[in-house]
Amino acid sequence: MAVWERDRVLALSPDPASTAAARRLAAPAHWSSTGSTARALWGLCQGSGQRPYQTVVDLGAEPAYACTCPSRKSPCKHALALLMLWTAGGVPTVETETGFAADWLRGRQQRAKPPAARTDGTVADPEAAARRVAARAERVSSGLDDLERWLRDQVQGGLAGVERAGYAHFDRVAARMVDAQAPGVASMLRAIPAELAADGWPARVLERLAALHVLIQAHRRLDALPAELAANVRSRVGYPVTKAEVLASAGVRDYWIALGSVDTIEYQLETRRVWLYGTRTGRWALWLAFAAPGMSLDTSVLPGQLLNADLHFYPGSGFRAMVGEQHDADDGITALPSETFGQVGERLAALLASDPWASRLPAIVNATPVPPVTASGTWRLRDELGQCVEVVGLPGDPWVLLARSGGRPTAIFGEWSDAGFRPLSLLPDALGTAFTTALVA
Amino acid sequence: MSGWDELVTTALLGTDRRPLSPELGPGWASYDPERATRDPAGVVLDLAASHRALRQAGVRLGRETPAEPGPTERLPLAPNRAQDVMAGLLTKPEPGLINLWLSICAERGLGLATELWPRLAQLASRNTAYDRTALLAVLGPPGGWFLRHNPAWARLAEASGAPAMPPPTDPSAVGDAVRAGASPAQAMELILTCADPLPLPLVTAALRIIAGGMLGPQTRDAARSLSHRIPVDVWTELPAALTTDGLSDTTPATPTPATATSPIVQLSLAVIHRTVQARIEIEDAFRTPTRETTP
Repeated sequence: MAVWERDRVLALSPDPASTAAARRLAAPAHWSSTGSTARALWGLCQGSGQRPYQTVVDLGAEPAYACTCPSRKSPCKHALALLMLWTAGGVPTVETETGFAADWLRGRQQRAKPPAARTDGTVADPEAAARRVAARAERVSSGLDDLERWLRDQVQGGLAGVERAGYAHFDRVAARMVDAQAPGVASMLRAIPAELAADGWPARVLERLAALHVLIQAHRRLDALPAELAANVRSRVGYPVTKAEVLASAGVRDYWIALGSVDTIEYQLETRRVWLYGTRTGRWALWLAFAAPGMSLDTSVLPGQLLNADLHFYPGSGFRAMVGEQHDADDGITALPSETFGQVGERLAALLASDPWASRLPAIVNATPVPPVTASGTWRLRDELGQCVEVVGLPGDPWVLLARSGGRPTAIFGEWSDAGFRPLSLLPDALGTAFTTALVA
Repeated sequence: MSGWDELVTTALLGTDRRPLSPELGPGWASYDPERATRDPAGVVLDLAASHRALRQAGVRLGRETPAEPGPTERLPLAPNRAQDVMAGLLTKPEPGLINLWLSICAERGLGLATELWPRLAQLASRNTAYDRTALLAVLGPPGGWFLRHNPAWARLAEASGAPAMPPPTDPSAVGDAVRAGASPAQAMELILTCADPLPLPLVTAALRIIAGGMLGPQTRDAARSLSHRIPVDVWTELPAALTTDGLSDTTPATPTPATATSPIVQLSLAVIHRTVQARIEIEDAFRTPTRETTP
């Protein structure tokens, strides 16, 4: 098992306080009886209590953590610190797990059960399934008909009242869409109130209502649409696709590099989207993880990670995929091809032709950061042809971009949208710089 | 008013109040006027959808002339462990500890990871207690170029050596002063003006003064100053009773109202203990292997 990159470990942290606490513990002086194998790490960490905490990390495809400390966070600061110590070469490698580590791993193995659901995408009772599908389609159609009437009412009566009405105005109709089994449409509605806070909101709200209008028209003509567009419409409305169905489709095998991720929270549901790039196929993929309140996000795919794997894509022209079979992977990220802003824009235009509701695109650009002239100005990126876009949605410090680039083009991965470019990570370049997600940390 | 502005205004006021203009202008598809009468809201939504698609697909790019890039030479980076320690220090900055990190890094000709440059620049620009010369040294040749891009940091790029300090006190002068009847506060002041590294006898004496509560309200400031001056190798030679967190059995040389069990003394000794441990951690961090790659 190759030792993980430091950024991969830092990305596991549930919050900045855990990172800070882990950094303080990531020194040999705090640990004893440490060891590592290809499968796991373990050690004893002296805390404030009499007995040291026993910490184990399972390094498998879906990392897992165990610690006798009272923290409910996962991973706790001790597990994080142990991982940091390991990446710094502070945990010795041994042949086999022993003691509390071996006991925990054995118990974990015994608790893992094979999945009960079918894995080949088939259903037990095709007739019953067909009836359910028809009933769902009827509910969705009825719900979308109601939504169309609501959309027309908004435009007839005027959007001026929407600003005062706020979130509740959209929540009510979104709830109706959830009842109609169109959760994708509900999400599109719930995203609209966020536009009300900014200047020029009437134009943006009108565009979002128009996008819903087009989706409804497309859904009415679903059977007449080209297959890919029809799949995109179903996806946008929120028709479910089971994991088994996705995994039953042909996989795309490649060396996939996870280049960046974004965490969002919508109605208490935490979502992580991780972008992957296929280094042989040049194909992009999006891996999604979800966590309900109190649960932790799946961390089996993190920025900086290289997967030699089969990815199975969801129907449509979107990027969403599931990780199937994995194979042995090499380590490290090497130079990746970049695009100009013009090329990325053209790629978005092509995507919109098959998915008019797409709003973002992953891209690697070789660009120079341009700091604002005034303190309140916006950062921009300049590509090698001299074309510029605004930097948007950057939670981290944009000055890191300038420090890293030295005023020269530097490989940046991020999301492209009509608002601008959102940098998510900095890639290795000719100077031998390391991959980093410091922009979003 | 552009065609789009016209459409948005109609939607804002409502088609019940404001009919859709029959002509939106060049570039807009014509629409059936009869349908606009029968279903104006539908026509507005259709036209808005077309506009949205064209706008998203036809993003206009600005242009920018390139600025002068910075120097390409970079310093080899400090070890990962040292970078982690600095990242931790920056979350709860203490000038003394950060300056120690910077000086060790600068002495070894190593550099700070670029991810940490902005935070450190921000701190140093707001507080003259940070060693700006050492900061410039660990940013390396591109450091000045980087700092000059932010007006709030630009003056850091002009840092020119440490300010001139008065000549240090001879350690023997401390003993002479005490024998001549100097107070504990005077003795402590003399100790803190001696040159580094402070020898074991002076460190021991300073700790006894603090533990004995002989400085009153000045105890904490003295402890803070002393905590950055105790050589790490001397710390390990001190009697255990003087280096534990919360002294228990030191006898004051001179009886005072404050005793070893007073809160201010306990807090002060805890500050010394924590700070010295942090300094040990910083020095240890630089003993791990240097990173192979440059920033």
